[in-house]
Amino acid sequence: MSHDPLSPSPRGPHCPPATVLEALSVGEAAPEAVRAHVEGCTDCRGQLAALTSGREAFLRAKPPELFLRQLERRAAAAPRKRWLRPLLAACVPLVLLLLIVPRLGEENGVRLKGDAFRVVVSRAGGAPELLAPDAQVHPGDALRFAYEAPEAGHLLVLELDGRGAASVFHPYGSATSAPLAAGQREFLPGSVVLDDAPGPEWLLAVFSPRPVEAAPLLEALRAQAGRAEPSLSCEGCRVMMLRLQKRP
Amino acid sequence: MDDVQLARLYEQYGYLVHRRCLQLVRRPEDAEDALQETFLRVKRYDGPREGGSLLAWLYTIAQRCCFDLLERRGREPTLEEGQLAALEERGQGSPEDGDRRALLGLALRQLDGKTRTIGVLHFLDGYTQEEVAAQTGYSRRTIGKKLQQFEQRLRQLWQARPRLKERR
Repeated sequence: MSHDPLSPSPRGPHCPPATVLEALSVGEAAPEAVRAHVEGCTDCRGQLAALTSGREAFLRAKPPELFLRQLERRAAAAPRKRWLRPLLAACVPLVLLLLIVPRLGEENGVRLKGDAFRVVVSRAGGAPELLAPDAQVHPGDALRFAYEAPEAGHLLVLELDGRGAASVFHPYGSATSAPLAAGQREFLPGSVVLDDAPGPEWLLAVFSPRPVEAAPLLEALRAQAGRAEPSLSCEGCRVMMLRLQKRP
Repeated sequence: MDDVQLARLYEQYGYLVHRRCLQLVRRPEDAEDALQETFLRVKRYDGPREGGSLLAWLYTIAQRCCFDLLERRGREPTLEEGQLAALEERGQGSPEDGDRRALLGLALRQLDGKTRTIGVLHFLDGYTQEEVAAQTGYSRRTIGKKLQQFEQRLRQLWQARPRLKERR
C-alpha cells in the first residue's frame, strides 16, 4: 500500500480545520473569511450538513432528559470511585485528602472552582497513600503530585521546610513553571524524596495562565520561615497549600 | 452548573463530544462512558474562560476522560482487527481518514499523555504546530519533537497494517 498515514487531508487547501467546521455546526463564532469560504465550498457545506443530521439523529436516540437521568444514576452510584479504581486496587490504606486553601492577594478575587491539588506518598515496602492535611511524613518518603484545573496553564509546586529552606518540587529544581494541560488528573511524572529537615513541611501549588518564575516566590517563602502559615502573592495565580508534619 | 444548563449544553454539544470520544476510544461502550464522565466533570466546573470556545473546552475535558480510560484499557488486550475494521466502516469522509483515525487510536494507547494531547490537536483537530503550541502552552520545539514521536509510531503502525488485513 503506497498511502502515507500522514498524507494531507482530502480537504481543500482553503478549507478550515475539522474542528472549526464542528464549531460552526453548533453555531460558534468563526472569522468572516471562514464563513465566506464555507458558504461557497461544496465539501465544507456537505460536512456541515452531515454534522447537523448526525446531531439530530443522536438526540433522537438519546434526548437530554434521558442523558441527565443516566448522569444522576452514575453520580449516585459511585461519585468518583470509577476513576480511583486503579489506584484503589494498588493501594491498601488510602486516605483521600486535599487541602484546598486559596492563598492569594484577596484583591485578585480568583476562583478555585474545579481545581484540585493532590499529593501521594510512597514508602519502601508500603502502598502509596494520598496525604491529608497534617499527615505525617518521614525523611526518605517519596512524594508525587497531581493538579487538576479546568483550563490549561502553568504549574509550580514549591516547598517550605521546617528549617526555612524553600525549593521547587515541580518541575523539580526548575527556575520556571511547567505547562499543565486542562483537566489533568494523572499524577505528574517524577517524585521528590524528602530530606531530614523536621517539623512542618508546606507544599504550595501555584497555578497560573502564564509561565511563572520560581525565584521571587521562593524568596517570599524564605522570608516567612517560622510563621504559622506562609502566604504567596502572585498576579493571576491560584495558590493551594498543604501542610505535612515531618517526623524522623 | 445546574441541570438546565447541562441539558442545554448536551443538546448543543453532546453529539460532537460523543463523536470525539468515539474517535479516541473506539469502543461504543467506552465512548458512552467517556461522554458521561465528561458531562459529570463539566457539572463541577464553571465553564471556559470568558470568550473561549465551548467546544474546545468540552473537547479538552472529553480528551482527558478518554485518556484516563485508555490508561485503564492499556492493561487489557489489544482490540481485535474486526473492531478496527468496524471503526473504519463507521468513519466519515475518505477511506484514508478512517485509516488515520484507527491508527491514531492505536498510537494513543502507546504514547505518554503530553504526546497524546498534542497528537489529537494536530491530527484530529487539524491545527498547525504553532496553533497547538499556543493552545497547550508547550514550546514550539516541544510540539515538533512530540509530533515526530507520534508520526514515527503512526508510521510503524501503518507499515504493520497490511499484515493485519491479510489475517482477516
